[in-house]
Amino acid sequence: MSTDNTARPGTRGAAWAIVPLVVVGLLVVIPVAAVVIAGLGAEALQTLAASSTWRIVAYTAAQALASTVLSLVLALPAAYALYRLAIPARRTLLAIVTIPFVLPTIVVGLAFREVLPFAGTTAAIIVAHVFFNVGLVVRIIGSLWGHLDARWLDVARTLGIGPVRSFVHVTLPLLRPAILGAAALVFLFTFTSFGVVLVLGDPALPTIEVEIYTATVQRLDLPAAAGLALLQFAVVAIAIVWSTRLQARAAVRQRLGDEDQRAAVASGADRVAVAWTWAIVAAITIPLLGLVWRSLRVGEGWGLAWYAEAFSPAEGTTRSASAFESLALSLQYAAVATVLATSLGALACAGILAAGRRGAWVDAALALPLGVSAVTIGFGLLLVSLRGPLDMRGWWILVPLGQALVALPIVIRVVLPLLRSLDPRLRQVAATLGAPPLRAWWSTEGGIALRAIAVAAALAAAVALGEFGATAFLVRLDTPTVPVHIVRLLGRPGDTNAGVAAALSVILLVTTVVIVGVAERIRPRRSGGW
Amino acid sequence: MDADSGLRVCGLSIAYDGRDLVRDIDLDVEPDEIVALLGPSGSGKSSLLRCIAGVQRPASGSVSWAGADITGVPAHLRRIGLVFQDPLLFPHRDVAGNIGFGLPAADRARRVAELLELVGLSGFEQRDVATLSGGEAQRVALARALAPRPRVLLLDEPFGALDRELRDRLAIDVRELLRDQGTPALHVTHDHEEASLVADRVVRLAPEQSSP
Repeated sequence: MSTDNTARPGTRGAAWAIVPLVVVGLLVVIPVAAVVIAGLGAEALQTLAASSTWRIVAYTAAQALASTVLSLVLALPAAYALYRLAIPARRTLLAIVTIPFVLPTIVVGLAFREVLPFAGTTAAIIVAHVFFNVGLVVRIIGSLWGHLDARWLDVARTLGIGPVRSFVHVTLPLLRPAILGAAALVFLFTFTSFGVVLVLGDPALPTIEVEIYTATVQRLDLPAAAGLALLQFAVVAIAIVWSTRLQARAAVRQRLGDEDQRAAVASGADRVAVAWTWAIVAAITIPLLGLVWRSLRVGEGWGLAWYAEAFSPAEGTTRSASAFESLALSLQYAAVATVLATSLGALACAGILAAGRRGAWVDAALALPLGVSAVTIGFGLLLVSLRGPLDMRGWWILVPLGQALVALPIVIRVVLPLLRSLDPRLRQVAATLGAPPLRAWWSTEGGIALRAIAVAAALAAAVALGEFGATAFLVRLDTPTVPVHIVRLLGRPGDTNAGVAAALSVILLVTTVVIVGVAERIRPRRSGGW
Repeated sequence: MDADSGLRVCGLSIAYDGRDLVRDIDLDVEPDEIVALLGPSGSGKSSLLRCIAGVQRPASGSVSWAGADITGVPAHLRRIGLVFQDPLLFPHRDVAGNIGFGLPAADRARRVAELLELVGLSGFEQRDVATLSGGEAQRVALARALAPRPRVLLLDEPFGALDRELRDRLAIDVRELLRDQGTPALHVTHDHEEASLVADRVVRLAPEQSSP
């Protein structure tokens, strides 16, 4: 792309980012502003005065806090075992531990309903949250832990500090930035968690997200929903600012060693950590296996009846769609969403990179949808479509647009480090080694860039397929996506509905795992970040 | 030479990646002497010190102090100090926090102040370790290693990263410091000048005993 060797940051290159910025601006900022404006109305502010509102906020924060602490505690020994010890099947274990994070929330919610005797309680929500997030924490803390210089502990030992005190006074402080970062992310995700709470939670104890949803969809009480959305912004903003400052203070300038300093399993503590990790992996597979089991259980026996039902092109009624129709629809939406997210994401990354140092602003602006919950995006888009200058209510494009907006920050987060690692000089080196120009380009810049885009597309597709929060607001009754359809089936009695819901969930589960697995394979190695 | 005092290393062999790094080393350090170990870089001297300190396992051989075999004793109970080539000062603690790291609370402040004065860094207690120069950092590392009053101090090319002049100056200071504290030491280096400035006795690693 550039004809000389020096990168030329500047506003000209940043022009690439204009399209995604405009799109995000229109489609996130405006709906969010719509929510804020609606939330500042008199009726909405009355909601804030109600004590029930504050009970909801307190409950949401409490379960998020509990989920965060539990995730951290469970993840630490696993992070140690997977990043500092040389154990067999390490990469497989790491993959299994990470899978929950990419699964659709509805699938997870349903899986736990099958398996947990105490579904429908706060404890169930917390368990499901830990299930989702323990892999994320393991990778964030583990990555730093794997790079810590092993000699820190040698220093502590030669000073007479035993293993336990070394861990508390040397290792933990050095890990603090990663621990805080992971805690902040998990808190944000669990605070704004929607699908899990809807499917697994105590109906009498809604969280903010669920309350926004029921207020909008069931009671048509938009002011109340807007007031709650505003409150949610406030809490999320405070949490982000607070954690950023904490992390900045905790950051220590230290020389990081190379990874692959993994030691052999030596002490009893090491063995406990390995056993702990296996236990977590087992605990992760059990609900998923339970889901598969449920999908195969027909009446008193076994069979593929529910799958047949899902794939048979049966006609839905005028008011609701069949499972097959929702499958078809999900695929169409996902395809469009993928194209949108990938093209916007590619433009954004090009713009961020070309903008050089000012690219950080663009990056932050485009990450906005991450901090804004999917429900808020959906709700905001709904508000705009209802109250805005254009009546966009029936627009087909709204659903994939909402999905693309949710996927966009993830796409950028993953692709940007890959592209950053590109060095145009690599191409020149390849050329001097005798590679013909096209091949040189393919095996260096071009190859990596294309693979990065392929990875982005795969992840966007996975996110779009499983997306629930925004989609739930934007779909119409007769055109649900698979996650929405599953939730509707759960609301109806009968073995057939439960069976088909399970079958659809397994289909969604397998599709997601396959897509993400393919993305992992395509991903160029030696990229920074996750 | 009393066989029951000081540090005794007998027949120590260390393997790395399946190969022999050092073979059959015998070494003595009396309770009142400073010994320099000379050998080219990469000849396994670091591993030797790490095995003596207990943070690495030797393939065979024994380490004993005052007649008692400490080969199986975990590192944090051996009371053998080790100064690395990098100062490795804890970044999340200031100078006083580093030096006092191995000390019980009771006497900490006094001992830290005493050591800072001995290494010529009085008043550095509150300094951020990231702001120290190479020589200052290494002196803090030295003070830290001496704070818990180890039975013997091992030094692994501590001045390797510093320039000639600083190195010689520090070598003399270290010698004075060790004599003052009454701590025996094993000082590993590849530099003859430094070895003769620091030590009472210089030992060479025989070429047949190491395979770099």
